[in-house]
Amino acid sequence: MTQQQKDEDFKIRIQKKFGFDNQKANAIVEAFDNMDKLENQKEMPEITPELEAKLLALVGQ
Amino acid sequence: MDIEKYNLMEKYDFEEREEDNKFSYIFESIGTKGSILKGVYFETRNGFVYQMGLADLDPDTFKPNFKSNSNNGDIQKVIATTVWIGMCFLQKYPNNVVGFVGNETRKTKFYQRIITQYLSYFLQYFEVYGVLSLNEMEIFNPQIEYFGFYFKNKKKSL
Repeated sequence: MTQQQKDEDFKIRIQKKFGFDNQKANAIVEAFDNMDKLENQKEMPEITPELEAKLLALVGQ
Repeated sequence: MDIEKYNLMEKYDFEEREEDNKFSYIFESIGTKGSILKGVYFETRNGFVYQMGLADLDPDTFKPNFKSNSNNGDIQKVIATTVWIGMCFLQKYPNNVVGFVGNETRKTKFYQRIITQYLSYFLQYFEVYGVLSLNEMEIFNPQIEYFGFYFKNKKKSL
């Protein structure tokens, strides 16, 4: 399935579930697409290379 | 907490969107302040270690705000939903590790309380780790205060 097909499927599901119109569903997909631009606002733990190596070892990488 | 009790906890329905190595989930919090859309996000730098974040979506632009405190009176249900999304993610992508932290001490302590309260349940399905410092982590110990948490699947179905 292409990303476009996945997005169309996602938009149909959220329109059904939350009663959104097509414009709202498009806006949500666009906001999700732009997540990378909000990196510094996230509540995510900082990962140093040392910690990352330990975590990767947990999953055999 | 046993699985029956956990499954009886009220949770919101959610929808998933996948794009490359990014996964986004959306659900609707319904409480004293009305309807607030919530987003749960998983992102990775290496395809195996994922960072999870919970945000309110702006009602007009839908841009996520990770620092909001919506106080919608349904925190238990929001956290139960978020935890459930994390668990479903790890079941669906069992070769990954998921980490999360509160963006303020109060939230991190809240997450620690939740993990401690339900630790016996989580340990049936996941290995749970606490982050001690920028490059140190250990098996989660309820007696120790951590600033981040990681879950790894034990590859046992929920």
